[in-house]
Amino acid sequence: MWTVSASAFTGIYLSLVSGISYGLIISLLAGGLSLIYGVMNNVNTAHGAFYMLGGFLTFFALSALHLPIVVSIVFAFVAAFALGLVFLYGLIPKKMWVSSDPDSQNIVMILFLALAQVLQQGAFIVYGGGSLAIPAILFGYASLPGGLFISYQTAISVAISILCYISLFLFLRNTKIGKAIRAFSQDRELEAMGVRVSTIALMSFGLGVALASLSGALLSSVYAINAGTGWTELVIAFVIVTFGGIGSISGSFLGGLIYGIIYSITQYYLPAYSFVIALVLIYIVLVTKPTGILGEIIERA
Amino acid sequence: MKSLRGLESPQNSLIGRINLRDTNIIILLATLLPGAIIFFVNMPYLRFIMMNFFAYAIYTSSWDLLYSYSGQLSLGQALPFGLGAFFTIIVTHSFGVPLVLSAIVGTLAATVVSGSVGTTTIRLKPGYQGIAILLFSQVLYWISLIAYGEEGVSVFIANPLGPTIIYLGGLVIFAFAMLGVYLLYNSKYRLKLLAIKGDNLAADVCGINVPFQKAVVFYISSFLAAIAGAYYGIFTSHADFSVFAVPNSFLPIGMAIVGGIALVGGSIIGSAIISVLINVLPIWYSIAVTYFAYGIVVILILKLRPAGIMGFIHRGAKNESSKPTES
Repeated sequence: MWTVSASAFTGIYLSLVSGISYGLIISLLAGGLSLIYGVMNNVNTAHGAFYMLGGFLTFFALSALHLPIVVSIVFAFVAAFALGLVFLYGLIPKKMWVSSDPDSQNIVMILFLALAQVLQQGAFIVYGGGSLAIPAILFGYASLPGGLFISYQTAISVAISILCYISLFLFLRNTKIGKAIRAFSQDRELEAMGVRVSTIALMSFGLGVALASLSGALLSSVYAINAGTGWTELVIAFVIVTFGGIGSISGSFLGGLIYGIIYSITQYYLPAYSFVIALVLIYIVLVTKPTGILGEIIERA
Repeated sequence: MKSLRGLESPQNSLIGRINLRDTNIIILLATLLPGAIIFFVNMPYLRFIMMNFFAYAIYTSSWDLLYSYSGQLSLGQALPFGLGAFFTIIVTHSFGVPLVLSAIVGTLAATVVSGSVGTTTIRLKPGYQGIAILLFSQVLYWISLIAYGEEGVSVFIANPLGPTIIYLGGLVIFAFAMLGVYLLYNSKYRLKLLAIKGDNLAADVCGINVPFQKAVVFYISSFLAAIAGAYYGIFTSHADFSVFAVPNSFLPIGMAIVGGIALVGGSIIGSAIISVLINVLPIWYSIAVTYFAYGIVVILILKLRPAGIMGFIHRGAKNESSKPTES
């Protein structure tokens, strides 16, 4: 992902830049998970599978539909949104879409876990176990201050991630459905005032899994994606969401940056144990401060 | 299993609590019979499937005990299972200790580690708890991958137990473990657990030490999963990173759902069906098709028959008993 032109740069500087870019892209995955939890009160355990699906949908659009790479990524986003709606409708009983009952939440988690298994094995059946080769949007490198180089693909992916966050914030603040999503996250009693909970749940779930898919589509040209991908990313999404505060979009943004930086720093100094150290850190956060660093369960306006 | 059948007149002795007309006991006995017959038949692959089944049935009931009775959710049940398998193989591999002794040490070590991890999560809501345990199982997934590579650890020394003894040992462990869980389900202790599951606060007010009891259940569940893992390690003579993988944590969940949760019979039936499915289907189809089918089965059962196969059996028994008798 990165090349260093001279040996004068410290590991911290390299890790910071690398961590911020990786954290921003992967935080889209966590943002989707957070959006779904914030509205539906359900943990989407199939979220990692939608990340994997993003890479495969992009590959499908490129190889079978012969679409340009940018259009293929958009296709992956839209297709994941549509598939998300289909799966939510087809799999989860409507009364469980939004629920605070622990038994209902557990059943939904198990159903999504089964869906993840089906999607993963389905990808194995269709495409085999090999990694996908998805081309970059733009080849080449740009130089940064200090002699550091960043690939255009990474820079474009970071820009798309930032654009997504801006669009998401604008959507949540300026559109009718966005305002309803925010309002419902804060007050579940809004249903009694005529707010259609099913529409809000559908929109949130579709958007959430589409963000996961977009994250997978963007990272599939940087990291290898295969049918086995998704479980580790699911754990990473949990890690980021827990860091930021479950249900908080801005927390996911912040959590993504923190995770990316911690991961990159440990990867620089202790590459073999980078993921393990990041997980142990989050485990400590989870058992000591379950509400995350922002200290709130759901997104506040 | 909603009713308190079997608790209305609790017997003092353990044997007295075994109701031979209980569906769960009938299923257990019905499983032991072919298990004993296969012992005398020299069919290695059938024995291998049965040994998988013994391990998975105990593994499934370990998850079910935690989920159905104490309301705790583990999405990383591969943690105690995998540790049981790994410790057993590593102890023999590193110190040349006999496998049986390694299995005892491995089971106890895995119970202590997993129980201690679980104890740190008992304050969390079920969803968060499930995620925390999943995280820890993923930590071990990566540590075992880094430490032992993709090939894992194998015990190449000639297994002094022999396949027949390993099979018989599995049958005995399975019988005692399932009977133990059955007795636990039919004891007064179950009421404590159900009270905790129903309302933590109310149970606390009633004088139940909720955190302590949750921790105890977690240790019992870890012990069962560790036994299953240790046995799995013995009959495969191998352990690698994949025992900590998420699909392995999903196995007991799916098996319990297919069979029917909160029932010993459900764990047995679910494990039997899935063990056969994942060992026989690959003869004709790929592993991917097998696990794809497994996921579909779990979804269909949860959607259409949440009570699992035991729901069918209980409904059938109810219909049978409600038929008018001719006088």
